Amino acid sequence: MVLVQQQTMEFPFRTEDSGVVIDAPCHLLAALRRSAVSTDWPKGLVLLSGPSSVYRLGLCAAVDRALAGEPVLYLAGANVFDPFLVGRLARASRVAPAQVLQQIHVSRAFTCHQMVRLVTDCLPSALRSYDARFVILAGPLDTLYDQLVPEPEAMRLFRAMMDALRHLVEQNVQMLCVSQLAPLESGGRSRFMAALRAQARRVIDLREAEDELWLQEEGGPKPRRWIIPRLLWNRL
Amino acid sequence: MVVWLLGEDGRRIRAVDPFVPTCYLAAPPSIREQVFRLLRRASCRIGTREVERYELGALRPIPVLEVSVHAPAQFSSLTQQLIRSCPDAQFFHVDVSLPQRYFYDRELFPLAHCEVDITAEGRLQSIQALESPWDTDYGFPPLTILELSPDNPSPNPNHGGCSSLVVRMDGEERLLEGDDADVIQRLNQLLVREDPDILLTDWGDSYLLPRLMTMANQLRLPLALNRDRHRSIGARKPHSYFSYGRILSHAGARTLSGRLHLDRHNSFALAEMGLAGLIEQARVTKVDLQQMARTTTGTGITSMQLETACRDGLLIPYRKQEPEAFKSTLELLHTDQGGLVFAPIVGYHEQVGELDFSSMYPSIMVRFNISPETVNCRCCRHDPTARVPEIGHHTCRHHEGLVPRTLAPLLDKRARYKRLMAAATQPAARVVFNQRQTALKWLLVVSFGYLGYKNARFGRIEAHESVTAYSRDLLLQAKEVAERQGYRLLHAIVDSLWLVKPGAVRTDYDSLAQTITERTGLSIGVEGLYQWIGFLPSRVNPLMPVPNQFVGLFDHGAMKIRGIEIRRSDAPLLVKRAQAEVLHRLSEGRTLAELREQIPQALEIIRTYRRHLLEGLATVEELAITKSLSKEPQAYRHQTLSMIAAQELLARGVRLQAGDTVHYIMTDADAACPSDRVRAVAGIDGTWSYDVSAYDNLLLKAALVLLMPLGVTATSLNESTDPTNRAVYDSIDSKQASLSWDV
Repeated sequence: MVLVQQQTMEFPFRTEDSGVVIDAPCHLLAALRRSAVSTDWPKGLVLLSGPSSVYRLGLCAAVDRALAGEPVLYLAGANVFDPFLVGRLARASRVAPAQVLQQIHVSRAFTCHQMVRLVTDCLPSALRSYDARFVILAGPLDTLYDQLVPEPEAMRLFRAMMDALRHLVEQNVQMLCVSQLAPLESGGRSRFMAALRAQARRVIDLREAEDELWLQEEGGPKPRRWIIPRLLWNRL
Repeated sequence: MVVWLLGEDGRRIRAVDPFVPTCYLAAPPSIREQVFRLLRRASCRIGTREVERYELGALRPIPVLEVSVHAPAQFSSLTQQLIRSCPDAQFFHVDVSLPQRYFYDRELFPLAHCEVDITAEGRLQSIQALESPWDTDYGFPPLTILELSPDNPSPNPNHGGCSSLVVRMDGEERLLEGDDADVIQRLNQLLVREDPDILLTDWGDSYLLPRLMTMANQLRLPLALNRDRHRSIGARKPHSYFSYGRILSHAGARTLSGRLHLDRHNSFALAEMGLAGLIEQARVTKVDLQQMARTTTGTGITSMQLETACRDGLLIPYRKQEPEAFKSTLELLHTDQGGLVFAPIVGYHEQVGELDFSSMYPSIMVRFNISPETVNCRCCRHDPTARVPEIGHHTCRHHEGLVPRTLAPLLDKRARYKRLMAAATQPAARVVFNQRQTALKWLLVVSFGYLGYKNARFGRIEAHESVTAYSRDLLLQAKEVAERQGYRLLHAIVDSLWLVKPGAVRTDYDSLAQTITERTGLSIGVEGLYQWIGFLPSRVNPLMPVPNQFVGLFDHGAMKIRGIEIRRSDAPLLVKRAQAEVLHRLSEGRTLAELREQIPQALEIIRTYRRHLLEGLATVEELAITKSLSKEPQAYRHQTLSMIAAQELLARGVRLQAGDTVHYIMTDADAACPSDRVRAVAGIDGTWSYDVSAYDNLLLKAALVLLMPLGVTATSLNESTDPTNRAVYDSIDSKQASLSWDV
């Protein structure tokens, strides 16, 4: 397997052919920190979108900050939060899982009304309670695609959520928004993703190929791209 | 509100009760002004007043505007208009069905025995139930039933095949044949003459009624499906929905006014608990019979909770908004667990006892006061007795919660039915009591799931977590008590334990159950004593145990079977029959030694079925495989067998959606061309053949899962039941020489 290394991203992986063993979920975290989903970015909203694998990548970012000793607030809207991945990533970094698990604070929303309430009402007080500045919003749109909720109501809720996000970003909260692509049958609700992209300071798309996953940042003077070998991804 | 009454003189009376439904809203003055402007434009009489009401769990009431709508038919459109126009107001009581609200308000329930005062014009002056929904000795009202079925050989008439109409009434059956006009006219005559109270159909919602109505419209002929001429027939489109991790399909609905339409093929309740069970559910939940027949059991338990809330004067929120409280991932790992499972010890065991906690989860909710508003209440946070084991939650020790108050009478009534069932001397009475207790069992079962269900009105994930935490603790306590008394645990799963102790008899197990009940405070009983029970291994790894996959022979001769083909809806009938015959043969053995002696006869059964297959004698009915589509047909990426069958049906114009079932036969499962692999049953004509090898494989797997723990290997099973190998057959017949079975 040939590792393609592009642009400014320095993945610390080498193939076994070239003599350096690919050994590392922890390297992935380090790489992420310096890259697309960097948690050292200037304040603002970063959107990471793509197939369902984006949620794992979002969790990697959460673990990375937790390893640095920073409290992380994780708002789960897609019901895919995997605490065992957190434990595995901690162990890979030679840190006791409990230490990392205690730094990531989760709240799950199962309906769009709960999701919006979480962002608008609960998140500001949680930021104060946990003295946190870093938020991962995983699947903010998933519950809004629920066809049982009338579209005008979903639109209203989406606007309320976006207003709250804008306000939080202005308060210097670091926000990583992780979102799956809109489902085919989302109809008028497919505009949510476009609006979210428009509001984000940076937009990174994840794409999957057979041997690797691609992260590609849109916009800027020249598009940037990073690659995660499938071999490593499957070991997470 | 239109109320249909069946008089003691047999007359069917349409009465009107001037019922005035209300809703509530909380909003700042500016929004209230807008509300008043909208209400002034309403075309019916509206009443408003300022009141104070409590939300569930709130310490103080909130001021709300009560809106009374004097034309119930306009209630829904008016409230929807308010919601759309005033999105920032909080609405309450807006989306509870009006028949339910009527039942709550008047303290009535479906099919209640009532006393009424009615004017000559049919206006109800008063109505009062003469019985309670919690009575157990009520009778059925004398309702007349007319049955309609398509005379169609296909497993689903929507998938093809032309059919006549079969009509049954008072034990008499007739076939309505002829051209469309003849069928409609004769059916209409029957409906007018017999005027049945219930139209009991097969495929009425998706097939019969829509087609009959279309035919009648096209021919411009009358068809008196409704008794109430003032109303049109209610129609709901088919839809798919998720339930317990599976996608299911609902065939839509055709509901009647003044008469009940019940479709046996579109009713979980009718299929599971019969008419007696359906009526029992409708009585206690106060959901009208036609809806109860078609809706999920969760709607029933929700209705009971809504009634409790209404009775207590609580506000019923339009949408649940309260999310889960933030918790660390470590806490999440500790709290978000299910029930406890001890994997079984694979193999067959003798003289085993099974103990089951009775309605464990709902009993926990009642005993430990678990409800959305009682978990992590403010008043008991420092009370050590209020703590939920293992996890950091606590439950209120001062105020009884809405969920326990709703469930307690259900638990009590089910226990009374079980006692009545045990004491009944007439088989017919036993059947009715059993159907009624089954109806209540299902309500209790879903009451737990609804604590964590996203759309449950009174659900909360922390309450859900508290129930499972208590259940794990109680199962561990039960295990400790049993082991202290010398029992060995073979398997335990959530609320059931399988135990063995040399020499223990029924009274010993009863005594153990009594001790556990005293220790835990939750009722546990002896489900039964097994002559033998086999915990069956994984089909992938024979050393790997599988929870809840077993066959057992009770000491009274009945068998309990879980997790194998005979219980699965997707196994072909031929495979199920073969497995049933093998189990029947094995049940001839009362001890493990006798069980082993049955193996040659069991193998002979398999050999006979394999020969039946090989000789091409299997019928469509025996071979049909029924599978549910897990997604919309166009969303499939791979050519699975069910997808190929679905494509065949789609090509013939059949409409399919996620959750629908398809019925097919494997014709050449490994064929290069996908369409050669299977044929949909509805499309099968005179020219078809089946894949002997594919069905043979299913048959061998079904036998192996039972026989492997008795030492039969896949190879020995295949060779010893090979219908073409006479030598092996002779050797088995003469004394098991080529097989070994060690337990």
